[in-house]
Amino acid sequence: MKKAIEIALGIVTSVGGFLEIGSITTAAQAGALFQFRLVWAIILGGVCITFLVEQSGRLSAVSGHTVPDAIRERFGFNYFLFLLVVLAAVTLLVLGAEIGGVCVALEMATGVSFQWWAIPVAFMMWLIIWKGTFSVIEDGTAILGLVTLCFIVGAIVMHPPWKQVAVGALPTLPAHDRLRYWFIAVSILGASVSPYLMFFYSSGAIEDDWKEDYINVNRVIAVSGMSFGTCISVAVLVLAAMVFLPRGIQVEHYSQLALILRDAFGRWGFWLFISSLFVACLGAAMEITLQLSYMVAQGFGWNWSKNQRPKDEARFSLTYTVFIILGALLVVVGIDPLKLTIFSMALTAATLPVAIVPFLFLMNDEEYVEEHTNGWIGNVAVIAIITLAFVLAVVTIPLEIFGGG
Amino acid sequence: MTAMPNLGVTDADARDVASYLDTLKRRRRHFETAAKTLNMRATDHNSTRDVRRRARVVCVLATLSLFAACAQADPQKEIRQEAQTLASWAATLHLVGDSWREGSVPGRYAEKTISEVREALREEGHTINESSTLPANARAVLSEHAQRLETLASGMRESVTSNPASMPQEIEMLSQEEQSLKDLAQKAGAQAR
Repeated sequence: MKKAIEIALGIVTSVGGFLEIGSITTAAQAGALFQFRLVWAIILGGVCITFLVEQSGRLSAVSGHTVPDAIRERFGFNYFLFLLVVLAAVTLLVLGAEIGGVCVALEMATGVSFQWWAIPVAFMMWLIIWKGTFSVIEDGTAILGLVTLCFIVGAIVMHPPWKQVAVGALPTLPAHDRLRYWFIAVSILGASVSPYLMFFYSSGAIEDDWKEDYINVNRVIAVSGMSFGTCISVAVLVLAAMVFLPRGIQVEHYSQLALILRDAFGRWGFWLFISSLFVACLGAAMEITLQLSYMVAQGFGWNWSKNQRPKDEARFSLTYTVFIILGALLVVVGIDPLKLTIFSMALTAATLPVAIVPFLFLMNDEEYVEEHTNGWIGNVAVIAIITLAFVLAVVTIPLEIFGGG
Repeated sequence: MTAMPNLGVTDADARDVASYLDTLKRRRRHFETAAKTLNMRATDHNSTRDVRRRARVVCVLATLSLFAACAQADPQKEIRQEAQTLASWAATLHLVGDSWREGSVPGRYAEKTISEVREALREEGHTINESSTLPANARAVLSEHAQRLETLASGMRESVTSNPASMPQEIEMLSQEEQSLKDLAQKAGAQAR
């Protein structure tokens, strides 16, 4: 019974945690410009992150190590430091984008400019992290995050041509704007296959005290949670294709996104979107903040756990405080949250190899995962993801320059 | 008599010392030769690295050129893109106006969004006027559209804040602008390379 509840909560967490500013924005842009043609990119991203999340959970459950911790131990401190610097820089931009998303939701609801909300939002995040335990933060935002299921209901209400949606699961090139098409595809992959998500998941497994007998629980949570999350992203794309594309609206500003549920839900649509954006971005911002702090603390051997009191882990608490301030500063200075999101998602895609290559070694090392090393399917999947990550790393910057629009 | 102190070394020891010193001297020469060879190899390695580095730079430049070539501005394509962007903003205004009239969105959201669209249209107008690839007549036509849309946005904002009665008329005018821009984009798309 306890495990059934844990599975249910885990799936809810994964569903709530999957959707964030990057996946909403990139899916909406894809649908508004290319109808259902980029469904494949969301599905591919979903499959990749499912494999990575399942494996990172397995690694933690069996070895008692989080992924960053194991990377430091197996590949040495120098490599870890390199990984930390690269990922922290990119993830900080993503954090700025998520805080920006929360602020934009508040701007749409109140009419007060998003910059003004940055400091109150940062303080609210800090207070929740400071006062809350890991389960409160994780489960609380995840349960609230269920509001994002409105995208799935909305997509069904709009009666899209499901056959065409299914055809979109296979890659096809559009007749126009091919560079933009590829840039959005890369951004979708960057938004889906985020190293922070798998690192956070592995830290969560340690926080929740998973042991070897949790391997099946982990598998069910990873596969179901990520699949539902992928469905929500596809639903956002479908809605954008049904609402924006026929009107010729290209998503170039957050305020346009607020109208995505209007045709499906009328006056409720606006508030449902605002709530979804607020909760999804707030949840993601807190997860990213915690992940950045976990990574630093795990790398430097400090105490780290959201289940301890701040005074017992002062350096960890100081680290997340600093990251929240830095993330909020990006919003305070007035960087356009939409541009920051697209830029950070593309950069995430570019830095994927640094995080994923060591993972392949770890998942085949019996010192860590004992007899639970990857089978051939797992290895083929990770090798394919690494290949994809290298391709993304090479093409992202030129696409950013020429296709970023 | 020499200046050397008597160290109490026998002839046999002196010969051993001399031969040891000779061995050391030979080894030093050997090491020097080896070091020179290594140095030459390092130079070779460095030059190989230089070649590789240059090759990488060439590859990157070639890739960038390829992307640049793909992205090279075709005037008709640019007209289509600009017309589509303007049409997109017009459609956004239209949808916001309709939603506000239906009560689907709050007034403060409508007002803010219309202001943001007006700002975006102003920037778009600047981009069009400063574009070197757009033909002069297309620039003039697009610029006019941008200006008209900006004026309509100002009117809509006023409708939201103080004069709701004029909104239907503005939406009607927006529809005409939208249609005209869509036609322009379609025509340019058909002529594009």
